[in-house]
Amino acid sequence: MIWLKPVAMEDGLSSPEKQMLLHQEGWDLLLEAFSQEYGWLLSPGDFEKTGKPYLPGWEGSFNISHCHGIVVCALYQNAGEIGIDVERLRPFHASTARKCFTDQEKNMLKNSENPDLFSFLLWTRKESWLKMTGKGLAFPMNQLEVLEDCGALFSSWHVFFGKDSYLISLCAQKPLSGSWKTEKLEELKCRP
Amino acid sequence: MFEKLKALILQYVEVAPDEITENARFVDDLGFNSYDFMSLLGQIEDELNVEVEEREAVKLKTVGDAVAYLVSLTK
Repeated sequence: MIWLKPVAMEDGLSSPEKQMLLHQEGWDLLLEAFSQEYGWLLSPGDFEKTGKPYLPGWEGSFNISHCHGIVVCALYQNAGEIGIDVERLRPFHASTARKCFTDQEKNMLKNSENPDLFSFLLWTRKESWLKMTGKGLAFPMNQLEVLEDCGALFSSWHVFFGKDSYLISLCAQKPLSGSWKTEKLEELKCRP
Repeated sequence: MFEKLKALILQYVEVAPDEITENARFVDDLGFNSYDFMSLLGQIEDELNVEVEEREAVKLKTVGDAVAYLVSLTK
């Protein structure tokens, strides 16, 4: 299941303060997800955080992502490794597309009706794959095709909270089942 | 190179200019996320006409690391 939570970003917070707030909110959301799904009351100290975090003794996968105004976490059993990424939709940097997209993706981007949406679709899929595999940013993104078979399964959503919208991509080794969970469902419009 | 990089960094994160020092860490001190960091790298490549390899880029933890690396690329 995927859990989402909007986070109020107060004016005056610096970038490091925002990152710290979102990091904390992400862990709080994960702990809430474990509590709601399994009835487990966990604390951050229960997790092994060397490398990709995991919960010792639990045969499932989780992953957290955050960006300005939202935190998301995915919690699945029987899905193999998973990775999730969220980004707020805004103008995409052309230099990032040049550096991170394959030639085919760049060609498709040229013909896209919504270049920013398409770019963040590609970006979040790539980032979720990097998180699933644990390869991280050392892997050259321009060698990773995410619109064709790359040995993983992607799901992507365009969601709306207030005046902002977000691209969320989930990458998994195995087919997923489940649903969304959000504290403010009435504010969420989901476009699979 | 430091001043040039500092000007670019200020386009991506909301920090006071004097917080950008050689010892400032991109993630912990300046608040970079992965998208901002890769965007910064892409812009550096465009503006300095260099190629930054990802496996080298992930080793750049501080602004000083990046300055030293970019100086080595432009020699």
